Amino acid sequence: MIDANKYSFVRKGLLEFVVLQTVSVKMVYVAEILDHLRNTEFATQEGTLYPLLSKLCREGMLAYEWHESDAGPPRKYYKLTAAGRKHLAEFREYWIELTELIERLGKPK
Amino acid sequence: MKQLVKISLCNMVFELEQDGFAALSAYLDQAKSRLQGSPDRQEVVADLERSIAEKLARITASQSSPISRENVVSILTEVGAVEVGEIERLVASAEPAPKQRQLYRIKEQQQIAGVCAGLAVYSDLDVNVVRCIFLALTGVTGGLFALVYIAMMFIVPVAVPLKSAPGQTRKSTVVSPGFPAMGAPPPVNA
Repeated sequence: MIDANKYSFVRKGLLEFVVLQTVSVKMVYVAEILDHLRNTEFATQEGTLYPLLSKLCREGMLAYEWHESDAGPPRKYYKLTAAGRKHLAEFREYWIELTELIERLGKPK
Repeated sequence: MKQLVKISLCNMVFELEQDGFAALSAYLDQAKSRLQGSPDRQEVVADLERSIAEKLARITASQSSPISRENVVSILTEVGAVEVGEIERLVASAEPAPKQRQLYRIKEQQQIAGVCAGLAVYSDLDVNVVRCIFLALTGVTGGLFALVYIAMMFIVPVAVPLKSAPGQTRKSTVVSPGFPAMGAPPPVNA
């Protein structure tokens, strides 16, 4: 059994890309992102997600639109920008490189 | 009957029991203080308030009694405490760093004018390696390459030494703020 708590630092760093990946599929608002991640290793909360989303918007990776909601205040629907798409693609490439590197380092010469 | 407080959140009015209101205020205060210095502070607090208002509205629609402390606590548990990454916090509190690494001369390590020391930091090489390359190139070009050094003496600016805080005697050179510490020269009088 893997003790996932030991690797929370890894997940913390990856959350940004998991969020970008989630938003890349379709326009979503926060509750949908939370639902999407709920039963995964990346389950998170609004207290963590909002600061991250604001940062990604500020960096130009994400943009949002306001949509009216019948249940209360309007909601922000997030979408990936061209820069965000590029950033995500770059990261995925890097991720593959990293995992390959780790495999390679584990092999005897 | 507990005392009730009427609050307005995102243009919606809610009736909360006094201790529920206290819990909500404490949460928002903590969120604001954790986001201190963040450029996104206002936005994140507004996002949280909108989300909490939406959840409060759902409770108001489903129960006739005012919002209790338990209601508020369950909402806040769902939303979770504001977490800002360590790095984010550091970045938020620091001056905006220049994005480009820049070449400087480092007076503190100079043999002649600090050009090689600056190049060493810029290229992540040992300063003696850079000096050897310079000497070799100067030799190969029959001394002509020394002109490059002389030109760089005039073109490349001198690094501004880091201002030491009161009580600190450590003296080191800022090569470029935000530049990885690995490449930086060791503190001179650490």
